[in-house]
Amino acid sequence: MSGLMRLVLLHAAHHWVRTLLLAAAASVALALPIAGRFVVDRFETDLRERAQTVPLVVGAAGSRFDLVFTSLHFRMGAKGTIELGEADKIVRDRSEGVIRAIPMHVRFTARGEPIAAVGFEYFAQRELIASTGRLPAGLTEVSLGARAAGRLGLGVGDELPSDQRTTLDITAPSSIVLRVVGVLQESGSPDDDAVFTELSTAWLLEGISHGHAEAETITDPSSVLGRSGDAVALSGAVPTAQRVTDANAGSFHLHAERSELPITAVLVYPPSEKAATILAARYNARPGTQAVRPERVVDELVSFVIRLRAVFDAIAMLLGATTAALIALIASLSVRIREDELRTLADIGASRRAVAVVALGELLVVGMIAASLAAVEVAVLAMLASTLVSMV
Amino acid sequence: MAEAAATIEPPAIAPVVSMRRIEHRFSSGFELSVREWDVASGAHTACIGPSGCGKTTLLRLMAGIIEPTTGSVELLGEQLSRLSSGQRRSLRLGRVGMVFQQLALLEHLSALDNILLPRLVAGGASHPDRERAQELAEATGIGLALKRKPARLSQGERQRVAICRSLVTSPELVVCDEPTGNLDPARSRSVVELLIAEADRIGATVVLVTHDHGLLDLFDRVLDLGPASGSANVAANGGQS
Repeated sequence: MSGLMRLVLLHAAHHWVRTLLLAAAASVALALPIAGRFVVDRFETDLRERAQTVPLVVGAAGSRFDLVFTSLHFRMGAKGTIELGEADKIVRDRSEGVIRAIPMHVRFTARGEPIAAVGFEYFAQRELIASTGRLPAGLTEVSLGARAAGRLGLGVGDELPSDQRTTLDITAPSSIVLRVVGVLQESGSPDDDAVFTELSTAWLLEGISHGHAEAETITDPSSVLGRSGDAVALSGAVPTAQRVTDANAGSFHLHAERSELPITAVLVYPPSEKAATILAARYNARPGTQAVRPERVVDELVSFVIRLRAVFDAIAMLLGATTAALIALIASLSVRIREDELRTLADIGASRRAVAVVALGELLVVGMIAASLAAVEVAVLAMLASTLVSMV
Repeated sequence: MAEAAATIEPPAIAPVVSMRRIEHRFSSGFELSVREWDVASGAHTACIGPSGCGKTTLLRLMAGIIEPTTGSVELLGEQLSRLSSGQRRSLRLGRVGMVFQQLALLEHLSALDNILLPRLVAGGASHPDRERAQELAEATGIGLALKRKPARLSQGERQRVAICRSLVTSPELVVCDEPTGNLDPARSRSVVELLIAEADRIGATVVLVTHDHGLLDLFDRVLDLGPASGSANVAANGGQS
């Protein structure tokens, strides 16, 4: 090591707190824009990859962004529903070839995690398999996405109460106890963050289906609105089961025609671009429904994010310039404080270059530490990019 | 205005320092004038005089740290006015040792690194340099304090570190600016004796500024810059006016 570098390092080591603080500040200024880019790029890639997996989504009219993000990322955005019959109609229409349509209902949560009630074909389409246990097949059975299972700390055999939609409306369906029958293998997609169940569970959570004691056995007059022959009209005050057991499983029933049951979306896999175009046109022309191509919606969103990124880049550059100016100010103050020391060096005969190296070497050391710290920060943030994106 | 007029004793060999018709003016109005002054090789010269009479300025002119307004300084056979700033620094670094008034130790360096400072700024300290520093430290009684930083050294130890630093390059000239300013007379004497002894070991010429008249018997030349004499003189030991 050269003598000058030794002098520089010894000075930096002597003032290690100041050196580290400066380096840390500089590293953040360096790392933030780069890490920000990583995260945004990852966000964009994840969005695009996910969008490419579904050619068309049919749902209730409203925000196309909400429809796509509810259906593909299980974000609780879409409010409206369409009828299950629409999925059947799409499948039955063979004019352009065989169309696969997967109904889904994403409206509820369990301990904050989204409940994705899906047609059973969903698992095959997404190639989701259980790492432990099995896929959900019965009422109130759920299989947890890998990350959701980790967050909830639950496994096969555990119970998970659904979140009560409101505590103010006593007529609203109460919380239902869900039974964990499986944990899915990690897929590196939003599926890892969902609680999967079959559609009938969603309708139970909606209050469209429920289980209660046999109507004929209910004698409480406040629970019976009227009787007509064998038919008994029960009031909403009849207590309903919150948990499906072997004993009461048979008592669960629907209060609607199957085709009229609500779903939030249908994931559609048309055989051709032409079939997709025809379907999209049909549903977009019909009042109350819409059909969107997730890729286009994501393109639209990404173009907005890119515009936003330019703003963030400008802010990051401003932050970097401010940090650089502050460091330059601190360095100049440091040189002033070290005036006597530097004069001593000059007096004993150190060259101007040597004095400059000693004076500014601190910046070099700070820069080197800052660059190393920034590299670590960027690497860590790049590793966490998926997690950060999943939190967005 | 301080004036130093020389009574020349022709040196046997070329002088280490030779000053001719020096005039130096500061913007504050202070002026230093040296008509003619030579420092013989191997001599021990003390510069005395009251505060503000120009002792430190004389040393800085002699070492080429500052340039005189007029006149010429020859240092170790080199006419300083003919040298660039870089060449003057290089000459000082390699052939002149300096002890400063406030010692000017670097607080972030150990005693050893402070001693080796001239070598470090010259590019690096070799193994022989370290051995030389160790040897000087042993000789001056600070061999066990080499790893300590100045803040953890006594004033006497700090003085010794500064002296070792001035000698580590085995210079031909050692220039000291009141190195014992803060010490009691007994301690001052022992420090200057040590300096002269170590300088003698390497055959270095010593020029030392002091206001302590009790030390003058240690020197064979005295330059008095005091105003009382009307003009300062270089005189044989004990004969300063």
